[in-house]
Amino acid sequence: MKKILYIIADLLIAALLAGAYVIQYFAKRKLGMNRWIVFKISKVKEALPVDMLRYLAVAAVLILAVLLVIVYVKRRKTYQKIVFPMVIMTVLLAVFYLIFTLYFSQEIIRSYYLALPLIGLANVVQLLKTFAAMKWCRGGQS
Amino acid sequence: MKKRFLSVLLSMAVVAGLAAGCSSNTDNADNKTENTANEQKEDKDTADKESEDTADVEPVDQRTVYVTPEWVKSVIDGNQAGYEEAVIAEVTYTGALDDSESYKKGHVPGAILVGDTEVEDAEGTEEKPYNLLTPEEVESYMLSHGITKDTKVILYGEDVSGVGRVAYAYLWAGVEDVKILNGGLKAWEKAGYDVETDVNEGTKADSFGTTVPAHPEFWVSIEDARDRLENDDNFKLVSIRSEDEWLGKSSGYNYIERGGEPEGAVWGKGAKTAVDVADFTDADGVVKDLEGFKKVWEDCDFTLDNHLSFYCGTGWRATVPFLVLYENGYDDISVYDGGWYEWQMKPDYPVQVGDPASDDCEHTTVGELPTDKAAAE
Repeated sequence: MKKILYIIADLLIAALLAGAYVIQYFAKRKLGMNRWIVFKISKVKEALPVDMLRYLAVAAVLILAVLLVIVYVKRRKTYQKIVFPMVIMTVLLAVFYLIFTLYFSQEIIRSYYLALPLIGLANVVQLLKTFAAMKWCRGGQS
Repeated sequence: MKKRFLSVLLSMAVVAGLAAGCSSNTDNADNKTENTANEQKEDKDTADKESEDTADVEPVDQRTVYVTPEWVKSVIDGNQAGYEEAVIAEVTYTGALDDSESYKKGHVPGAILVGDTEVEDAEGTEEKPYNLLTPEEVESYMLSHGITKDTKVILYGEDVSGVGRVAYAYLWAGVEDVKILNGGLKAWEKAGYDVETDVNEGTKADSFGTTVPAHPEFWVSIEDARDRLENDDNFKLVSIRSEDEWLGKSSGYNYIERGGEPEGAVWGKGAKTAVDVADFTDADGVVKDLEGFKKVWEDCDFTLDNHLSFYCGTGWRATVPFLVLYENGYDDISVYDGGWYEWQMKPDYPVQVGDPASDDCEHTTVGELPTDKAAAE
């Protein structure tokens, strides 16, 4: 059961990251897609303070990732081996999210504001999965 | 004795084998050389024959924009005097190789890549509503491809109006001889000509040779369009949009929420949807000549004596009639670049919704328009 949940989580993360890539892929090739994205982003910007939200979101993910690492380091001897690569993956994904948020912009990546929530969501799923594994995969349990 | 005999036999067999092997290799090498020579001769004969085939293709005027595949082939074959250094370019949206699948599949031999986003912005904001880039930016992109005012440029691409957009921008900038392969790659292949998959790049140029834009009169801003609509009786703002767009039933685009037209605009037809210029082309996408355009415009509310300023949604479709009139010697023409997209961003700008010749036509302002006219996604 737990294994199935891990697989579903991994598939969801892959789908979210692939979705971000696919949107940008077509945005660069198709005039209509590019302009539809620009339009949708302008609508979201009208409704939400996205510039502030993107920093809050990445900050929240980073704090949770750091928290996760601290907990793991403190209790690492109690966890099964499978937890370690999950923690590494969580950190890598959070760093990618941070770099993407800070380094890129809508001018560089047309779908920037659509890709951000997808990458953020992928981070949330990865965090949940790793926290769950730290709870479930202790000692002889799996 | 028996051993010695066997050794001699074995040695003879080895020598014979080697000799046979060498002989075979030599024969193969000879055959290969002969084949390569034959192939080269055949290639040369084919090239010579093709070159002869286009030797009689008539030259065209400098102002001619739409040209046939045969004419382009004659340029490649070196049969058009003055076009030896012509730059052939495929137009895609960004002009980047990674984003240009059509180019990677196969293109006209020698063609480089250029992009619509090298001549217009992709921001879509009120400050940058998909209009032409600054003169400095357009010049910089052209120079990066080795295009100067004296370069003979031949463009083609999948999208008739996307290619028209780049050709128009180059003319506005000051390139004196811009041509379009009429019918694009489809027409090229239909004529029986080969494509190549090698990636080509232009040689950078240092100086464009004149101030960009050399023809600012070809470009009309939203302020000019409004002013001339109100104060210049000879000025006709001609909508190159579909009937549904013209009547305000739909904006035509999934990214424009309001439907209507600038008040005072006249309809120049041309399109069945927001992404074609079907009335101006034949079934194969070949742009009609001026006579074909005159037929489309038979019952329209303007004449070729007016100053015609074409517009559409964002300035792509409008370039096609501009180029056809340009190649036929008309100079009193322009493109209102911002189109309906920029107009509908100005709340106090006057609009008409419906056929202005009918009593049902509603005259109002952008700010009063409903925002439910976006085309389905």
